Amino acid sequence: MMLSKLFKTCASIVMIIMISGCSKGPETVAEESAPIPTNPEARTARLTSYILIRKTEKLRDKAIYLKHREEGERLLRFLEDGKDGKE
Amino acid sequence: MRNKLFFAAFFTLILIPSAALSQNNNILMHVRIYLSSIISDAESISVVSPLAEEDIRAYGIDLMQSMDKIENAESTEKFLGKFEDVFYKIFTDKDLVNLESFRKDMTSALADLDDALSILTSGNDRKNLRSDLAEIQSKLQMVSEEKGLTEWINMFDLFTAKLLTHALTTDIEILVQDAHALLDNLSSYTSQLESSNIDTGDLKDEISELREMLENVSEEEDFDKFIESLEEVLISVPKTQ
Repeated sequence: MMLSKLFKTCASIVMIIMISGCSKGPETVAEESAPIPTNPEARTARLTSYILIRKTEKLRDKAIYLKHREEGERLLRFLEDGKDGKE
Repeated sequence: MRNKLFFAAFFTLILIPSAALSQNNNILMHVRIYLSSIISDAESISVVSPLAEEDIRAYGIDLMQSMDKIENAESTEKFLGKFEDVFYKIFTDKDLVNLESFRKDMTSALADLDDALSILTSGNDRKNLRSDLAEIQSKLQMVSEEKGLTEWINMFDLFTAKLLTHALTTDIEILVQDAHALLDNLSSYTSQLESSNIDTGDLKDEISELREMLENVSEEEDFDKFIESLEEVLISVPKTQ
């Protein structure tokens, strides 16, 4: 639906994170278990991934809906033809 | 594979007269396969359908149970009527998603996927996915009837599954930190633009609103709304290059 915006957004994220000097402070933030990279590339990849996953899921949902509707309609037509004695 | 079996049985019924002897059983077998598929994909279907996931699943299970009670031609006929009713409850609005609008949306989306490949993949993975993407783009243009569409959607499904293995899954808390960093950088960038006498419009106010939204993010739904608003703002950001 708004998918074309996804990659304009990603492009903007890359540009803004890279151009404006990126994150200040250390390259990693100490977490309880493993350090999470906070360099611009890592931040960009994480945000881009999130957006990609959400948008692709929506697109797949739409595709699955359409696939089932088309299959169901074909099945119903076949059943109707069967009732009418068509081959 | 399931679709191939479906079509094989379907055309066997039409082309081989002797198969018509067991036509009812075959039809019911197809309906059963179809209903199983509806039940397992209820979550995805509910995103577009007016019915909720649990209702779709409940209708599917109810129909499956009704099938087990079929004893004769009359009960078969009754079942098929019920099946048709349920079908139109789940798939109500033909105009909501149609082949033409779907193809238009997909053509645009696929053209952009190449950019995501550049960010998330490299080397042979990128090369292979680009090759798959090119094939999908080409086949989409050939989709002109329903069977072609089903095959195309299966191909697309495989492709996206492969593509998503390259996407990172991250906790919301980390993504919120990333988004805060992004907004900090966007503020700095806005200041740079202003110092270069470039009109930034309402960008500063919009960034403040985004910060406020981000403060209230506690789960994915909130973050989705934030991302939608972020997209709107980022699209209007003036570029210096």
